[in-house]
Amino acid sequence: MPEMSAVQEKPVHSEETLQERFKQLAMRWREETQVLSSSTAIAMHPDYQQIIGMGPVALPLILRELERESYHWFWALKCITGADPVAADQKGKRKVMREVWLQWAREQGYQW
Amino acid sequence: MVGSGLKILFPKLSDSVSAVTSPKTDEYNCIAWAAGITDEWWWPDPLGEEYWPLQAPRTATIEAFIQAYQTIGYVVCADASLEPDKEKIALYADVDGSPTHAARQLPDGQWSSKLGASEDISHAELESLAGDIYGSATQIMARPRQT
Repeated sequence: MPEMSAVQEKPVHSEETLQERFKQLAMRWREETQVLSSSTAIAMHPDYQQIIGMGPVALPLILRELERESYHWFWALKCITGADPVAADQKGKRKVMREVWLQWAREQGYQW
Repeated sequence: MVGSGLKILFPKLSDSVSAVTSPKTDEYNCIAWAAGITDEWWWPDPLGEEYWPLQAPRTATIEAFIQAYQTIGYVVCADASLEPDKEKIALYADVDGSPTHAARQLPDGQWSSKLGASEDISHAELESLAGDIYGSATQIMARPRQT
């Protein structure tokens, strides 16, 4: 695995800063995990862990990304919300998981 | 033709023998691709978000991966040589012995690999993808060629 970037955690003070920080973390995370198959390694990437650490304020940003492309947002959604709307026989089926999560978020009243 | 980005990640890839054979997609990964599946991401992740055969242990070990492929008819075999009546796959592991990647042999003897959420490529040798990211091919499995 390539050496991953050491990232110093920064406080988030405004919505604009939050979005910029999210975008920066998500972009680097994608770049550094693009050829990995291990979902565990992808989810344990420090940038992804920082996104999870943002908590519920990151949900609209994650949902926006999820609507654009699924990639590996499911761990973060599950960790932040505590929900698990994907049925056992749907696990691993990205197109289905994406639609299930987006539908769940709409039903919960999330806006993104 | 393999792009410069992939050649940086996998320095042993050669333009003359490697080709990109599909666009990028995160619908499936190399483990599913080696099993002939193109609509699932296979991995024994502890959160249970990915597909993993129920008959195989949900742990990231070569033994668990062997058992996963056994569910679709593969058995451990001795070497990666081309045998016309057999389909072969190769499991890669890192220096700690943890699985990282899988490739499947093409009928002409080359290998086909899905690179994470990136492209599928064909490569002449298993060694073409060996290195820091995937480690090396450590286990070969085979099953009768499917018609």
